[in-house]
Amino acid sequence: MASTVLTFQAYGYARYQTRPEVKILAFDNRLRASARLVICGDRHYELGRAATTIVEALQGPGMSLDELYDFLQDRHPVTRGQLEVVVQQLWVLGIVKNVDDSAPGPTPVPRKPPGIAFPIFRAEWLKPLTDFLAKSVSARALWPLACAGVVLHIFVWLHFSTMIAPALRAHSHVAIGAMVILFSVTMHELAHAAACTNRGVRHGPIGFMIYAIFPAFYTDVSDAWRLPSRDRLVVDGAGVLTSFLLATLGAALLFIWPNRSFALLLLLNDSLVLVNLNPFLKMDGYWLISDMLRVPNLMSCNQAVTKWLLNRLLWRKRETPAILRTKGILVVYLAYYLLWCAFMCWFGFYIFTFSRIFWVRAEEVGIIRSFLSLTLSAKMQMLVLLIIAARVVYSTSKTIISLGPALSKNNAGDLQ
Amino acid sequence: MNDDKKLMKMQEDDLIIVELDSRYDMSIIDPLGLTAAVPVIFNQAGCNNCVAGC
Repeated sequence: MASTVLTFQAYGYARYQTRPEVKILAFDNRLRASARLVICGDRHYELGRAATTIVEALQGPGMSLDELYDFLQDRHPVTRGQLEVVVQQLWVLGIVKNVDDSAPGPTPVPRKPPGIAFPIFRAEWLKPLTDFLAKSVSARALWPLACAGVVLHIFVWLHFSTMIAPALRAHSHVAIGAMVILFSVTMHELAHAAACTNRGVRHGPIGFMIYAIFPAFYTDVSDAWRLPSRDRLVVDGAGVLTSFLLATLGAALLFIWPNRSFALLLLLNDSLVLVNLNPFLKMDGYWLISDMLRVPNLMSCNQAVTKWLLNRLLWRKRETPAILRTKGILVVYLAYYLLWCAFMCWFGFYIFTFSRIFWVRAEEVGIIRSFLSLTLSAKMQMLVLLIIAARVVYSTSKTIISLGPALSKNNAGDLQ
Repeated sequence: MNDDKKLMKMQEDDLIIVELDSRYDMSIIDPLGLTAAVPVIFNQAGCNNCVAGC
């Protein structure tokens, strides 16, 4: 970052141009109604009205800072210093480039998932399946099924609870449990991807990651920012709905043929629904709340409010965060914020206790075994190790294959 | 808030550039193992009382 800032040319005659691949779209949000969505590479930005005007003005053959300043004067009251800062920010992010500079300048940095992650199913491999699902499955047809599922759930949980509880204990030593959960989680992620295709936006790969301390599967649906909040809710809810329908299938099968395996299908998918609806970590519940409130970057809002409150406690006067100035959702947001604070206190204590026990166990059985035993049940530990081993084999074989032509070329050179 | 401050605030909002969070829909692989590990972590259950596989 430091080197890029040094080479930014703030001279009046330096000409800047918006990169051709940059897209400017409407952005459905509550905090800044006039803001626009700017997409650069695979990154999404929320730009204020004047910043958007700058990007739009630079979409042509390019403008010098002097020309841009004159252009903006009758539209937005922006000072010369502010203009330079904004253009510099846009340049650092790779949204605009210096036309006169022969050096390419900063380019958009590809997005990476948080934590340790790797893709398992690439987007292009999933495309035929998501295309098929997006065309053949109608959301309207799923709602009656989901309603019937609720009734079936209540009935089965009341009448088969004696069979469902032992299935939980059987989970650690029934191999089918690992397959059921792998299938359920993959279907959950596939549903998010299919919902993206259904709403006309791209989806990324399905992969494996360690989120906080939890092994998890993920789908990259960042392109859903392009959608209005109503459609974003469809993408968010598709995973949970699929897990619920799989649980309903388990409930129906359990009703017809009482069996521990079907009890496990019901139990695993119901627990997936409940865990995923947690609105305090970045899982489905979080995105559902964020899109229902139409507040992007909700976690950052929570952090800004906490910082503001701490400053107030220390008698420091700071500007009220935008979310607290937004009318219409204040009561709902404050209720959410208080619950978030309570959850974060509990989660902090959980992580603290987890770390303490993790290190005690690590001394006895090693770091990897200690981590696995505290985050996964026995069969799932084996499955996660298999996934990681498969990935290592895949990466190694890919490297060897890519080295093949280079090695044969070298050998041919040696022979000559 | 006086007029100058209002203008400054409006300018700041108009010039804002915020990167939106990447939307990774995550699903914890083993929610049952996770929920089962909670009593183990908090030392509320002895061995053979959970499914944590330890």
